[in-house]
Amino acid sequence: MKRPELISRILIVAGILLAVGAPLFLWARTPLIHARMAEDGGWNPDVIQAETGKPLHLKLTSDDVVHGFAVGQMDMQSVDILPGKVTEITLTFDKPGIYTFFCTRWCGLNHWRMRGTIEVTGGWISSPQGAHPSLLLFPSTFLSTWTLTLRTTRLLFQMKSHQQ
Amino acid sequence: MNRIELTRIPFIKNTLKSRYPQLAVFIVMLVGYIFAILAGLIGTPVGSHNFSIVFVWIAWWAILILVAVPFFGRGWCAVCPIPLPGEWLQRGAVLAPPDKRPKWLNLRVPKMFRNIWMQNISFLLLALFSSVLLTTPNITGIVLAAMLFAAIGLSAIFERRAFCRYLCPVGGFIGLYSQTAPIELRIKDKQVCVKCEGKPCYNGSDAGYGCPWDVFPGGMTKNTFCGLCMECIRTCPHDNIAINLRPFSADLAKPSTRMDEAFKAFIMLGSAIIYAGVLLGPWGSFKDAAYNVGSGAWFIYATVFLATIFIVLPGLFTLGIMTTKGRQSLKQRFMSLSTALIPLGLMFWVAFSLSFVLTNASYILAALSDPLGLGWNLFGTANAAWQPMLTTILAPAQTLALVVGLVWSARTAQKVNEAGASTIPVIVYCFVATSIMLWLLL
Repeated sequence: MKRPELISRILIVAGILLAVGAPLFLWARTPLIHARMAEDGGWNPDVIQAETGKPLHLKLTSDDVVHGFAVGQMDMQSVDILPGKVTEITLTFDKPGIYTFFCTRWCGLNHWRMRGTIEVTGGWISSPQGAHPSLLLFPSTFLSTWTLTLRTTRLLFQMKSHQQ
Repeated sequence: MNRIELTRIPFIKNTLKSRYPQLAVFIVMLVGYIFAILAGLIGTPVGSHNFSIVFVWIAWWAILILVAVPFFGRGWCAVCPIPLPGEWLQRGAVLAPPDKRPKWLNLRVPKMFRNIWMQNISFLLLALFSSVLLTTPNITGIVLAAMLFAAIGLSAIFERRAFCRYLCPVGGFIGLYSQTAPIELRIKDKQVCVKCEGKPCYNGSDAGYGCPWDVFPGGMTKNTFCGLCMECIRTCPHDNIAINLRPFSADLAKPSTRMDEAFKAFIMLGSAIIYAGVLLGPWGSFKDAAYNVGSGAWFIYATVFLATIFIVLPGLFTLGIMTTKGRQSLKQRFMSLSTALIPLGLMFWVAFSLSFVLTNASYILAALSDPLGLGWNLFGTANAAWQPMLTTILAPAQTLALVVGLVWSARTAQKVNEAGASTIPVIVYCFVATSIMLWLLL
């Protein structure tokens, strides 16, 4: 085989391998949490593992409409998750347990069903604040009121669906 | 205006004759094509942020319909990467001189398929699912992959580029509209071809392969089936092949004599009108019907789509030309006068494409920096906001395109019409179609 032919073949094969391999490699190394309307599957994955004291880096993206992300039992501001965009957030847990995360945007009829859990293992980390995210933007009193409103709304929906 | 032979310029001639520049472009295109497939399959399902949707249906489409086809005819086919893997398989080499023994089955495509009906069908298949195809990355990825594998499979069974020549849904309309382009590949002297032994441009030689598009350049009078692969420039032992600049629509002076090509003109004209109504119009129910594939509404949409293309548009055209008398049969006049719809259809597509390309072009910047929707920012443009471009000139540009199309079609109708017969029905037909398109777009 002549040299130009060999080089051409190598270039084509290398190009194909690059075009296939590079995106697959990078895609596999970028775990995303996908948000979809509850009717289409909700959070994926909907169970996340974490350890106390170790920062949990989450990359969230929406596959359909604007969603929001917040974790119950934590003083944190909810973050918006835009379609096709990636939102990054870092959480640190001081106490082990099962935390619920949920959508904070009115994303669809079953919005209130859009929940997942973060299973935090490990020992207690002493902290005057308790569990906290690295992203603390709103006063906890505001968040408590907001969480209460959200829970009341959920209860109303649950009651309505029971009645139906 | 006489033709200007571009291959007289040594740089152009040497560039076209050498395989390396074309191969380099092929490889880059192939990498991009495969990346588009992967992006469609594993990237974000949000179409406006996925490389496959943004680069195939916005960037590539804009280049194809606004630049490549009107000015370079089948210029896209000259660099399209789809045939590259199949040709390597078929020839057993990328650059080396052709082997005398065929590597695979090397069958001739059956005569009944040696036309563009299969291309008409493949285009319509995509057109019927276009609302989903144009917005859903994984469907785009699957379709792109299917085209690549179909080309490879057909290369193993049939000789030459059977996929490009007879099946490619894009190649069909590029071929039709390439007749309007101001560029052509033609022989310089017919007598040289008559006397040439072995016809290496068609059969191949040590210098290169026989025409991959199954065209004998010596008999070529139209751009329709010449893929501008430049193989004949390399194989011609008499330096008798030229690339010429010529007036726009030079091929249209020779009217169409084929029913498959006549219907292609109606398919393209009808598709542009329907797309303008469904994709750009204000009717939500039309969009829902087109998007919800398999639903009752979609079947109605598909029926209306096909009826418009195969019955309404050709039927009204036939009724129009029936009112005129001529020496040719009605069928001949139908095929011949349908040539007038080629420039009209092209300008309909230009006007339609201007609308969605200028509206959505800003997505290109974001998709360039984050092609898979994984949160990258390669060029710092990942967060570029969506911003419609050149909105102030959009309507005038579309109007201008449609008016140019109408005038161009009227001129073409006069050229292809037999002496003595009236072209008024064809011009009225084109005028009504243009008015409908203008109403839909504006």
